[in-house]
Amino acid sequence: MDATDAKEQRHRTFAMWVKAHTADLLRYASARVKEKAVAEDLVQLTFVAAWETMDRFAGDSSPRTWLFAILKHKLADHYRRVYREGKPVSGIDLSNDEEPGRYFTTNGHWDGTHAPAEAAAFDDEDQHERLDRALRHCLDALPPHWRSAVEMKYLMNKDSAKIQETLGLSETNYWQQLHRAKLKLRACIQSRLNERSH
Amino acid sequence: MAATSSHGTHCRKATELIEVREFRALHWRERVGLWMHLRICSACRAYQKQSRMIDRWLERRANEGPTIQSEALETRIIDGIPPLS
Repeated sequence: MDATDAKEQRHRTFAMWVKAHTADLLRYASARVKEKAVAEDLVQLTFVAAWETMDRFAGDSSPRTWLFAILKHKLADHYRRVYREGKPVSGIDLSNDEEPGRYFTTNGHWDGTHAPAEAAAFDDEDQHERLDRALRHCLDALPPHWRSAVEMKYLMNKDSAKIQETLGLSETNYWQQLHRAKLKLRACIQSRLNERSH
Repeated sequence: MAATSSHGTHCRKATELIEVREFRALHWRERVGLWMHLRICSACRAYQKQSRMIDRWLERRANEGPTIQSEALETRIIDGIPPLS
């Protein structure tokens, strides 16, 4: 096979991968970032990196697995950037410190109306679709750097050390961040579900 | 509703421990404190249940969701690589 053939082959293989995997990569990215345009950019960046390193792809894994691994790297880069942009320069985020205070009294108990209601069963089968919509909405409604903290938990398989290193914060701070985000997310979902049932 | 545990684990702490537990094993004191608190606090029990459900949803997202139109993006990607000649 001469050089032109090899080049043609490379183009053909690449085009095949693009056709086969773009939709799945885009669905994965779209579920994890707020803006559709950002999701598309991340997928495009994934393929640019794939094109550049294609010769080194040995075929030990499937192209799909390989492409998803690249996309996850791109997502991690994205979350790190968003997290650092959202974090106040001083490193002290006063709005963060106030957040749990919205839900609890000064002695740490649920503050009246903010207490989770047992009746708000999030796992009803017939609620599935509504819940899905509520979750998407509430995740998108989180402050962007909070969402980055939440997404990193799953992207990095709960590897606390790796997440702290990527986001540049201590273990305790990371957990506090997640706690705040979860409180806000949960409250948002409950109020969304209540709203729609009336 | 919001209940007091004689061992000092209150709702704010309990909900924090529910999150921390995802990353590390709790110290026995924390574990006992959380367990005792959950026994008497229905709001935190509801929180724990809902929190788990949110976590499951976040983990599961990967393979679900509607089909996405991606033809335009596919064209953009292929047009973006260096041409053959």
